Amino acid sequence: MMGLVARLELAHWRRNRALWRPLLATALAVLAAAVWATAEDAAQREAHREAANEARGQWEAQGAKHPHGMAHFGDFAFRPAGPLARLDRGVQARLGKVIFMEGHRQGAPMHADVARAGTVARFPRPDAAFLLHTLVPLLLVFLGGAGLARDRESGRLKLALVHGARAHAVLGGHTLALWGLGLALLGLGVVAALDTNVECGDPAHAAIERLPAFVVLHALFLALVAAGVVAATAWLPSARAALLTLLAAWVLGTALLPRAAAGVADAWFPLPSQDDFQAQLRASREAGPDGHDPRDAFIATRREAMLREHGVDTVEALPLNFDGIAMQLDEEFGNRVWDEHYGALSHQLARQVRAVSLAALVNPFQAIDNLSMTLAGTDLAHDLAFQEQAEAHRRELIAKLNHEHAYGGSRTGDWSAEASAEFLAALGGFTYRVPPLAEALRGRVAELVALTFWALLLLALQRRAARRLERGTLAC
Amino acid sequence: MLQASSVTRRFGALTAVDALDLEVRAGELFCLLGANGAGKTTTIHLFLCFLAPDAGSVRVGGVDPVEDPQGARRQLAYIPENVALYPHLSGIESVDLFCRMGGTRLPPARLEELLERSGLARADARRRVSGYSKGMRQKVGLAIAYAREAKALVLDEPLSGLDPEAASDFCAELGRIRDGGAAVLMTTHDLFRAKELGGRIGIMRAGRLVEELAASDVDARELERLYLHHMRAAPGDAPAPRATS
Repeated sequence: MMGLVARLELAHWRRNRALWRPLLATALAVLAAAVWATAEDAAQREAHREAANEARGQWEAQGAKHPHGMAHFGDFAFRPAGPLARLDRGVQARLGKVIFMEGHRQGAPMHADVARAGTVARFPRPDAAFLLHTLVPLLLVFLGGAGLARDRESGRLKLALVHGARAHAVLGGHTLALWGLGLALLGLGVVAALDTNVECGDPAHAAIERLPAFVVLHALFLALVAAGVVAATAWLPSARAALLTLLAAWVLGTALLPRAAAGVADAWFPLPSQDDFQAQLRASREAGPDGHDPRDAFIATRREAMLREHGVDTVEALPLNFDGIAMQLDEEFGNRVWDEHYGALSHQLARQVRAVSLAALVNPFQAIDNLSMTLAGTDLAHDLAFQEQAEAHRRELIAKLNHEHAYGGSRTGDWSAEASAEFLAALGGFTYRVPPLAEALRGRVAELVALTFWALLLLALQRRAARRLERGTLAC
Repeated sequence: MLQASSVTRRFGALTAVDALDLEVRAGELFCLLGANGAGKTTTIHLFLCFLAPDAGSVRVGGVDPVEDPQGARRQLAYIPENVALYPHLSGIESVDLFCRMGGTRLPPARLEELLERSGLARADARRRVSGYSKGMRQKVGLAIAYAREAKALVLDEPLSGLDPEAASDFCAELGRIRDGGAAVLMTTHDLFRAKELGGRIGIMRAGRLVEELAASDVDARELERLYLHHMRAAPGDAPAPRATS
């Protein structure tokens, strides 16, 4: 029975040419967004591959070189976009995917402006996911609002109910038709973004487990929209009232509430400006040791302790290169400063993200937007994970270079001693590891709860509307 | 079969049906006359379970529609003023669709037979209903009702807009349905058809059944006189005197 009603609705759409234009326009928009993002992703992957090869080639071309020279030569951390980023570019496009790693400083986060980092998630993005979260629901509002209302206003609904049709099956059939259309558009986007030529790097592997979750959650969201449209049309007395209510809900959910949530999050948990942040960082860093300055008090204290420890009078007499020790002391202090400042920034960003997550409890549009970015690996949490991984890699790299500097056989003050080409080549490049799905979703519990809550609420509303339609307490 | 006992239904300050007592027995055809707003459609909706009475009770085959709408509807078929069908379906497909919505599947031959019985030509039954006249759609409505094998048929102004020939055919079919033992309740503005169909006639005014008579007791002119009298009378006026011959 439900399938029968759904087929009737699909037949009506197929036969009504006036509906073809918005349907085709939406399908083409989803298709174009996915194809464009796939092409752009392919170009970017190629550019990253070339840049990574170039950087690695330059590193290895240095041959034997002083370890601290290599610490300043530096290396690059590239964050390859996963295949799902073609469907949802999230905030990734605005945050950058490359970090330069060198001694003495944490790789600069590629945020154009630290103070905007928390809010970029709310800007529209020309990708398939954005269209699935906004344009497709709008299409379902227009089609669905008219569907049940047409049956009601023509008298077909009454005729069907008297002749034995169950209202829940009628409502379910209309929901099924709308959902089917939404799923077709979702499938179109997913298929268009599929690329058999995807590298088998880590992000691609992660997508294998994330793609089903991406599809399932989007399917759930589209079911919510379809059920909401039909429930509103059943509850409200006229097609016009239903359409106006649904349009108001759409504007509220896709534009007003997300912006309000971002505004509140910014107001409650403000971020420093880029200039202020860098000034505070510089001030804290300058208060610590400078490995390049032999007169630095902190370094001098450590130097004296080491001389006593080895029972010698001069650093030249030490069986190691104290300059390497000083560089590591400098590095470790710097690391504490970065941890403090970037840690506070990350904490504040996390609080903003949590505030926006809580707002998703009342707004399923926000919930799917956040979940979609998380599953695509393009949200702020993945950006922070990339920075943390790059920083961990940088610290390990610099520590190894400083260790070679200190214990590689040279003496203090010898700035001509070189680490072997083999040693330097053995220092591996950076590889980004996508956080496991469970870990990524741990930060999106509010969104999952929101989608479940809305699913149950709309199901209950539809069932109640069906009962009332059958009993005549809702107009049919 | 269809019974309303002291039924009142209000919409805010408006009393659409006021202490209505009405009974249509099996094998009986009851025509409900009245001006627009007299309460005829509200009465129909009470039997169809689309409205619940504020006072009194309604029974369909002994079942209270408020308590068991599905049980009451199982005994009913309904033909509205405009039988709304899906324009892309043929007559046969339309009957099949409503049967399947009600959980019944009939073989094509049986569907054709039902449409033929309702007076729709075999060739027309295979055409899309978008090209049907109102009379043809009413015949499809009748076929849907036949398929239900319902004990009661409720019709809400099914004759309005039908040409005389189509109305005549339609009324002939109603007569056959009544003769088959079903209770038929029909609202109409067509005094002539109400008289021709026989059975009993009720006149409603301001929600009340102000006159109830057997069609055989009056001729068409007398029925019109009675009707106009009730429509023009102020509330609480005495019943119209009947002509003696």
